[in-house]
Amino acid sequence: MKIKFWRKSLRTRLLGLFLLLAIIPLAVIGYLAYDLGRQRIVRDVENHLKSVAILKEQEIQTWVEHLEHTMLWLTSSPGVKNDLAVMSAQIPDQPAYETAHASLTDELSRVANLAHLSPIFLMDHINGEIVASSHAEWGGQFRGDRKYFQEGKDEVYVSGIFHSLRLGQPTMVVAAPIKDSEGRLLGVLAGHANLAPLNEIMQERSGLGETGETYLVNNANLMLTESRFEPEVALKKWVFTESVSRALAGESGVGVYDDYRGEVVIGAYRWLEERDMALLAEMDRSEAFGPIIMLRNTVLQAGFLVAVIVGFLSVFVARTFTNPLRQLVEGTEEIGGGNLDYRIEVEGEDEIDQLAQAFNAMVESLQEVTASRDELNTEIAERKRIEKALRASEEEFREIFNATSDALILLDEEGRIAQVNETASELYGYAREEMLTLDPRHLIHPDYHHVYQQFLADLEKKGEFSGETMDIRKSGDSFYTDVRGTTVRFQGQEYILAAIRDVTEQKEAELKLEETMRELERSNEELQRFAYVASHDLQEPLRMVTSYLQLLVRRYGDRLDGDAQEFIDYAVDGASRMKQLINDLLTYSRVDTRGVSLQPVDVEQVLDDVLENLQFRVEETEAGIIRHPLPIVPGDKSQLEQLFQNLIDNALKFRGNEAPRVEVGAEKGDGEWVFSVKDNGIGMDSRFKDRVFIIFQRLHTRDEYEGTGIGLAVSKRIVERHGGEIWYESEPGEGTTFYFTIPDEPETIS
Amino acid sequence: MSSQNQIFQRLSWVDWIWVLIGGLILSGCSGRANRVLEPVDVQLKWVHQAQFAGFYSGEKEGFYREENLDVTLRPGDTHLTPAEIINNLVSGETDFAIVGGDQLIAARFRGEPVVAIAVIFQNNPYVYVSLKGSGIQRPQNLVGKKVMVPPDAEVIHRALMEKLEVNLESIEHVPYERDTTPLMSEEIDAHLVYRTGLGLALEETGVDFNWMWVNDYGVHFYADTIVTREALIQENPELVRRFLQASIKGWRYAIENPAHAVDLTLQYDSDLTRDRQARMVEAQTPLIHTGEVKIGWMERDVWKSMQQMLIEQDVLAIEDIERKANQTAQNMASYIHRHPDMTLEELQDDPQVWDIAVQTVGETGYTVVADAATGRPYFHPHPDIVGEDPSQSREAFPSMWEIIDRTIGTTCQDASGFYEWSADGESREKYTQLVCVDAETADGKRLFVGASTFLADYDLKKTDVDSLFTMRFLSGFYEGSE
Repeated sequence: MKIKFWRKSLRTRLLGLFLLLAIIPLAVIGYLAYDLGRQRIVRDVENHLKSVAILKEQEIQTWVEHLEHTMLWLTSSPGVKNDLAVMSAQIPDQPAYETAHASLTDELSRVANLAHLSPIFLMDHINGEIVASSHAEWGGQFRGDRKYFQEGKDEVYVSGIFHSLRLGQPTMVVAAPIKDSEGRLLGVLAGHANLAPLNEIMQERSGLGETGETYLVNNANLMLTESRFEPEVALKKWVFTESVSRALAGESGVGVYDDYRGEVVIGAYRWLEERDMALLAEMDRSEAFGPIIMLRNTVLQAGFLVAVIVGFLSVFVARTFTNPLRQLVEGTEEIGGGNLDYRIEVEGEDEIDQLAQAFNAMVESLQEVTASRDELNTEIAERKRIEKALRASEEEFREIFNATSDALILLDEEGRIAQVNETASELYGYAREEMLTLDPRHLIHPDYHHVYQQFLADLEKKGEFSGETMDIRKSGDSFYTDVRGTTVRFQGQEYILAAIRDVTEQKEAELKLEETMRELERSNEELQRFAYVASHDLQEPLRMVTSYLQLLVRRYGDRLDGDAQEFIDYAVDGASRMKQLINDLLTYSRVDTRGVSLQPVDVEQVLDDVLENLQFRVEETEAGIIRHPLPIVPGDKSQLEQLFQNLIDNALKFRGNEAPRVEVGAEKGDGEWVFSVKDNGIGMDSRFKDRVFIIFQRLHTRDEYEGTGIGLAVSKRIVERHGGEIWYESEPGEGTTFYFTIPDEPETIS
Repeated sequence: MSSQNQIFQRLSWVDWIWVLIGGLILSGCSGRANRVLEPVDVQLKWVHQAQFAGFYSGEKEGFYREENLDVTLRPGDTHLTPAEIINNLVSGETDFAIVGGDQLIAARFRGEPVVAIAVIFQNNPYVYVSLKGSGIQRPQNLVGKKVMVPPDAEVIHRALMEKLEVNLESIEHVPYERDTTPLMSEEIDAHLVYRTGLGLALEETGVDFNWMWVNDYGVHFYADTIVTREALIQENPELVRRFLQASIKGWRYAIENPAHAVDLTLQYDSDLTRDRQARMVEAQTPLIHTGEVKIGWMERDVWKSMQQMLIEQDVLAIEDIERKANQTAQNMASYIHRHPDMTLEELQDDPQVWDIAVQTVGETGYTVVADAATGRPYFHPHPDIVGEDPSQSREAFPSMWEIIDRTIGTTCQDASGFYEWSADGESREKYTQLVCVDAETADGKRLFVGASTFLADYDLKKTDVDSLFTMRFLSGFYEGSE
């Protein structure tokens, strides 16, 4: 996609380039400016917070030192010392004690207000019992267990901030020892510091913005001063922030972290070693770094503005470059689309216009060369196709050559064997390499060398040849071959390809068949001659028998007794039947021998004649004849009459109980007519099939149906002579239909 | 911290992913573990109120659950004595108890194996209150004044007066009433009150008072203390640590969020008034925590001084002697009830009765069973004294017979007191407790039990301060978490 985009349009690329050139430096400079600014701001904020923290620490220190100085000044006051010394020396209720006590109480009451240490009280040095105080009710307390008493015995001590039960508020105690001139401890002076100044210091937030604050945390993580955000947290809130942990570990520093509210703050933290507390100066990061965001927004806005301006300029500049280019592109597209008449407009004189002019010139010359180029292309395409086909056919040829079951021999132009396939090598019994060295004539029986010569001549004449030869194997055995040859072009040369098939078996079978046929023809002819001769010659003696029998009856009839008369009748009957047989046989044999050549015969006419002949039989049997239109076919008219007569006679003869009904018709078949003769007679069992067509074959006894049984045999012979076939369809008791075919066109009658 | 920082900087982002994965696995594990909470029973010192707000926070804010604890907070009541609370803790019925520091010391003194693990109320809430204009600004001013001291605070009162060298006899002690009226009507001059109890009621009157904290006069006396039995510390120190840790977090929470702490308290007893509980929280916070000491923290010196006070005031001795006398009297009564047909003579012939009647008290003392009408001893460790005419001893030990005379007569009455025991030319102080046996023998005799011993016995039996408490869990918490 990316590549596509970049390649898509020059204008886009130009635009992108301009923008990149403008934006990258802008972004880099903007970022650098922002980053420098940010660092500067962060550093400023950090430094500011640090200095605030340091300032606060100093202020606290000053305040504490002031308290310490006040306390030291008080403890070194001669009046206080004297009074305390008197009190130590006396016991209560003594006037001196009471005077000293009153003086001391006055002094303490006076300084309590001045020194912001209120109440202020003096503890004896043994039990820490308060012997004098600015507040009377504080007298008599025992503070011996307090740290400020114990520490305060040695030197000035400032306690941490804690909640005083007695005062009911947070406080801090400053204590210092009072010693006499000899350095003996007389007591400890302690005062509750007013924390107001400290709170003022911590709550002075000038320069800390809306969210800045400073606060103190003790070593138990307890907040000591009030928060800007939550009420009454002093001594009531524990702070476990990272900065406090670090400060409590004695570190000082600055960082960004979550404060006790969960807000992200930037804060400076300091460990106040002498005070045993942590000081924090914090500001919400959102506020502290607000200028950074402003800076960032400014940089971004400025950058955006510049980018927009550059963008517009880029579009304008890119357009001045790309418009003529686009025209050029459109022109080339138009021309590329086939419109060679198109010309690009040329307006100016710059490089692009020159390019357009050159382009136009180029298109003109292109127009000229396009025609010849097209032809060339067509030819190249054609050649390529042929080459491809050739390559393919070569491949194919090789495969076929090797795989074919015929023996293949390839002869070169000089008539030498150039290649043979596996089948050839097997057929001739030579190894393939061996065969390549042979003269092809060597493979052919010398008796057939003339055929080989003939082949070469045919090849010359027709480009192909075929024929039969007798070839010789390596073993010397000879065999018949069927040879077909043709010229082939192969690898640019002309070859003769001969396919040889061993047809010895076929040839032998053929010769044998021919022999048998000849035998058969001869015997057939002999048989026909015999039949004709026999039947013709038999008629003469039979006629004599019949004539003499008739003479015998005529002359000696009255002298013959009944028996003799009967015997003679039998002999006459036998002779006449024999005569009939002979006549039939003669007819049968004559179908072929006496047949005339086939002429167009109107079968309607044939049927008319037949029915006329059979008129008596039809009437006698009260038969119904149904006729369908019949065609004209090539045939022997008298034989066709015979055929129809036989079939209709049969139909009338093998009648059932009903009156016979005979239907004659014909239908056009494929190159032949199919005739049918259908009856409603007794029918025949289909298992008899062809037996009915055998001569003298009878299905019924002579007593049942008269006849010699030759009719259907003759019919078959007639049909076959016409080149047709005859068959029947029948069921016993269901009638019979005889079908026969007569070809449309006369065929050679075998 | 700085070394931690370096480690963080050295970690690459890949390491961070591992850290994250590890964290997820760990959190998943702990999530699973959270489902099986360990049950913990805690006996509170008193009825539900803001006094225990930190424990409520621990429970309701999930600090205990974070430690896999299912804590049951049992409120105390007027019938549940401190001794019973300790017994339940020792028997294992409860696991922790909140008791007064003095109660812990007494239990320890009795030999109960219980230990303090943290002190919640660092400062004792008992405070003397007087009217602002009464001129009573310090306890020393109580001399010659009428004062009400609650029985629980007697030890503190005595200790304070001793510290201030004020004779107790110089103060007129008025029988205690838990009521603001006596002080307000100036029937009495001062009232020693519990700051978060009657103290709040006084505050509600709107009158100005002087508040005199015992702590300011040198008596530091721990109040509410978390105790547990030694066995639990040995068997499951981890449980103790977790409970303590969550409890301290609960208390911190309660202090940081006082209003919410009140809400939580009201969840435990809705009959409490919000205003009272809110002021209780406000008033008790500085007692628990002043900013100086960490929550729960304990100081050996404080424990030591508390123990010292209790011993010096013979509190522990008296308690022990009283306990022995009461036990023996109860045992005698129940034996006689079981054998109503037995005459005194028959009882005296029964060795079992001797086993009950004569017990040792302290190191050298013993119990005696005597006639409630005449004081004639029937059971005594010295055989020759048995049945002896009391007139003889009456002459020898008149101070003792002052006490016995308070008991004997037509009706038997319990009595107790100190008396001088002079023997071998030396006079030493003894204490006796006489308790009537609530039964009559077949021949109509009524009896009482007397238990007595030298008070000096108990100085010898001072318990070891260090056995009272253990800092192990507190230190672990504060060093571990901060």
